[in-house]
Amino acid sequence: MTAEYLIEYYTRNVYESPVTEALFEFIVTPASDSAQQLKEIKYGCSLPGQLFHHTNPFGFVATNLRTIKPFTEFEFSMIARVEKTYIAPKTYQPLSPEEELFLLASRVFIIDHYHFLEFTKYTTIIDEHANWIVYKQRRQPVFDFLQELNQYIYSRLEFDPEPTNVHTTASEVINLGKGVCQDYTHLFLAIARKNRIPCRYVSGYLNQGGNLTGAAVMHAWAEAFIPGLGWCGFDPTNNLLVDNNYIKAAYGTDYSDCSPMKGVLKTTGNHHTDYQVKVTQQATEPGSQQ
Amino acid sequence: MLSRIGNSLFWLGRYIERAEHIARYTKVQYVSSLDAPYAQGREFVLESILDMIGISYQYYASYSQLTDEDVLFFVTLDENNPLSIHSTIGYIRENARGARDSISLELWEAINRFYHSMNNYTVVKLHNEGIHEFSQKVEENSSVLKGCIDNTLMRNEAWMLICLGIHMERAIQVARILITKVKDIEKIDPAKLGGPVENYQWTTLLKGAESFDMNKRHYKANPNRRNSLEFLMFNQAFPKSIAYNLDVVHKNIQQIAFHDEKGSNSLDFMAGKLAGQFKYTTIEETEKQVTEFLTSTLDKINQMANKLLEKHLIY
Amino acid sequence: MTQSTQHQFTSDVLTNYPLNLALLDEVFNKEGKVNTHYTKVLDQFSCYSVEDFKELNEHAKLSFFNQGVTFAVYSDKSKGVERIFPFDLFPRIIPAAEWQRLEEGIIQRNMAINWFIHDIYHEKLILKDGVVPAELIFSSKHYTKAMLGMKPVGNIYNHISGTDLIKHSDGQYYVLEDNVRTPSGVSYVLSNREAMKKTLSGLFRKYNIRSVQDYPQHLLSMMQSVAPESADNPNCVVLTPGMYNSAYYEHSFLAHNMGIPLVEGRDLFVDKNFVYMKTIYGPKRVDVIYRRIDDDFIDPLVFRPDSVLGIPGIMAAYREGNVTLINAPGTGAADDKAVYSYVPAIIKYYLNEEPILNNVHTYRCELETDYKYVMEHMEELVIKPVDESGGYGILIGSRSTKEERDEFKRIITANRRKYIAQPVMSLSVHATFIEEENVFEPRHIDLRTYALLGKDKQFVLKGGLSRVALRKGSLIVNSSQGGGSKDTWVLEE
Repeated sequence: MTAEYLIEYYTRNVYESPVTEALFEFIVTPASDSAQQLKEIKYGCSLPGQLFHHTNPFGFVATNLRTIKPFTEFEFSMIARVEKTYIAPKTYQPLSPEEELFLLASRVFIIDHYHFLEFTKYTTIIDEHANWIVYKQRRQPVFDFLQELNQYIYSRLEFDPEPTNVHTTASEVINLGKGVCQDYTHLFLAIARKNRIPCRYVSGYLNQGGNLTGAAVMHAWAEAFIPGLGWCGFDPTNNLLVDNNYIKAAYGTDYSDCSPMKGVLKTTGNHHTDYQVKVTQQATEPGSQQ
Repeated sequence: MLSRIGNSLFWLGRYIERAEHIARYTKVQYVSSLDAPYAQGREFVLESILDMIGISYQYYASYSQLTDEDVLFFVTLDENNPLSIHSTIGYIRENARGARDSISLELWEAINRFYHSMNNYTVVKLHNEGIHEFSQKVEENSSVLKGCIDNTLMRNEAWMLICLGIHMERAIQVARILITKVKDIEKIDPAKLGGPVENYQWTTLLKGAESFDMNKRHYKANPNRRNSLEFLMFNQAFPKSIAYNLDVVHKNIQQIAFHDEKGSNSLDFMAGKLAGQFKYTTIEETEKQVTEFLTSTLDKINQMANKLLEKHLIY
Repeated sequence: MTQSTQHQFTSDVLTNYPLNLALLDEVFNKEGKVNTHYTKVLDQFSCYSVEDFKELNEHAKLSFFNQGVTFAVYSDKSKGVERIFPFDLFPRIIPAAEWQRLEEGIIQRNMAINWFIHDIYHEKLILKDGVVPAELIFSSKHYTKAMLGMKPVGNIYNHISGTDLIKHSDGQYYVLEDNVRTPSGVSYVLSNREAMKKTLSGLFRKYNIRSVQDYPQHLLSMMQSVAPESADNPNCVVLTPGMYNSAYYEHSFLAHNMGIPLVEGRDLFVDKNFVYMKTIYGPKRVDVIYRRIDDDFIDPLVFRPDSVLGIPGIMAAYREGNVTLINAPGTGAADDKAVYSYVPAIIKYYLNEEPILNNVHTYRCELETDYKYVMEHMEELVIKPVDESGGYGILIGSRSTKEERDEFKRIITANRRKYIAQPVMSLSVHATFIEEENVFEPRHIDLRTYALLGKDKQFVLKGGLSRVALRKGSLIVNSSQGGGSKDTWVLEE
């Protein structure tokens, strides 16, 4: 069973004074993996210059643009058609607690997942917030613990885009008690990694059909490695397990590996950015109704 | 050659020429005014100096009154004036440093000596020795630098870019001098035109461009409006004339052979058209609207310079 | 091993040479006799008076000024104070057989380090096999995820290495450290030789000395060997942070001697995953970059966003295989002084060979037993931070006060990963002309060697920089800490 989505990403940036040279990098292209397939993609850009792509160290498509023609505003857009293969929830037989613990502690496992166990600037919880960290019971299955963690973060934070920004760290989120999907995810990563469970930051799109929070912009969630099962997605912002409605663009150690847009520009003064994201489920069979 | 190095060399040439012209014009105007016939108002001369350099506005932003001391200091040594001779010499050195590997040791050392001698020049010294002494030093040093450029550099792109800068700047400075003096003369009481008051202005114009002597020899007559303008605008054999310098600029651009697109938008075309215009225009055709003609020439030279900078020397 | 002859000096400068039998002297053996390979130097020197020597010394200095081999110390934006790197006229001589062994050892070591760098950014087998502790690598500030899975042309990462060696009192060479980021100083090797040839030309005729002047050619052909396949006639450049950098002279020297452009970050740009330089004739593709800019500054899009020295997008061009960076980013994870202690194991692991060069025994403060030993034996040890270079932050136990040691104990305890300790190695000494006294005295020396790894080619510069600790009794040879240098002569068979 498959579902098809149309994904639209649009951004408009206005600069106070002219930008005389710029190199932008976008990581917005839906990824292709076992759960989803990119069927069609089109980019649009108001600036002269040809878009070019490369693969980042985690294997995802980054789109670049260089321009030397001065400008004070520009628009960039992407429209993609993605087919999600619906993977039925696995009949997952958890490993025994002993097996899980053994695996999580094994050297090869740790080395293989090192980047997703490391405490980065975004995923470090300072000592004075140590009481926020929850620990897995020794015999508790990893999956159960992560579901609890999902629920825990969802209940401890209040969704509010005002106080945080792209630089907010896990510890700052704790201080504020509120934030957006990115902040929920960093906190999830920080605590999962404290439990030595490999966990990565995912950036992507959420089908808003269910009126879920965080859909008008790019969404963020976490993927953790469950021994015996593999990578499994958790969305602490909505207290949900990741399903067909989640379309992945990229993953990395934290936000810094996945930021949808960054650039190096020659300009002075401030700028203003607008984003817009739209996900629509397409009719997959003729005549079917949404 | 890297654009950054090319940029430094081009500006090296321009600033050397600019410092020299500003120094000489200031000297000639100021010193001649001291014993001018039917003494011109002092302010008339000071304003002429500020206008030629194009810094009237900046001057009045810093000073409320027009005084000899303030104007002379502002033009020569004021570090806060980015167009002062002192600042200009600083740019000469900075550009030479940026292109150190493309110029000779001799030129580099001469620039350093020039720079250090100016750095040690104080207001007191300027006051004691006078503007004549100061300008003389700048002019002499400029000659030394141009001597090094001519005698110690390979005839390669580096040399060509410096020359391009020198000759383009000279055409610009001569055009500015002409515009300023023509306007100065327009301010004179019409009743006095044709007499010693006007002749005095043409003489200082020519002296301010080191052309008085050659002009007299060429025309075997006293300087007047027509022969002064013709000499500095159209004489193909005189190295200060705009026509001469635009011709050199065109040849330099052809020699450097920028792999430019052909056609009316190319640098070669722009330079050639402008040089051709001066070659095949007479004073009779232009003397009625000489200010307009020169202003439009300046625009065209600036367009050409911008094209060069944006296309080839940007980094 | 080395034959010796009784020395008879007629020259004033050497008559009272204070031979210290407790130290290994490169020139004299334990009986005070001159080692055979130095006799011709001594013969020549015995013809000179103190005045002659002073004059020769001045002559050599002048040669440096005229070559422009100066450090510029900038006090303000425009006025620079220039000084020369102190240079000694007495050459250090290495016999052919001794050198042969060193050269093999240096190549072996750097080849193994190259495989190691490849491994830590790919399968990480050496970590999984527990030969090198994973934490050691992952906690290195030079380990970068930007290099994950990256396969540079020819699989070469540390194209240019500087291996620092000393000769201990047991007569053996020991490696003191590996430098696989941007080892500097090679321009001094070449300039020292120029100065020596002008000053003591007669001496050169008596020896058969291997040339060092071919280094730029080898460097260029190494660069060409690792050019991207898509480059027909590779455009190689040297990338400098600019003329205010203290090593600018070397950058300019190398570019000039290879006949290739010396560029700054602002001269380059990336478009469509290719690197171009801005020339007056338009953009020109750049294929190989010998960059003298640290990893952190090379691409503001990937590393420090505030860097104005780098080129945005260059890492993408690199990862796409359209440009080669020399050395590869992230090589610093292998020249960390704590990794140093594992190099013998690294050599065995990848090459299945016994290490040719000795390592100095190293105590890693992060290990409990080593930490305890260091705390208890600090007077006998040299303490070094793992990630500093230039001789900064070092404590020499035997020369320190109790307060200094206590302070170090505190610092080490606070950050154990950051410190290693080694027994004090007795660096060999070498007769060195002391300007203030106008005599030769023994001074401690080391040897920085320069190795190149290209695609299917290896090269070690025949000689190197013998650095001299000019201060009496000092063991620190770095130029920033009052060190000088000597021309180093490798003899032909």
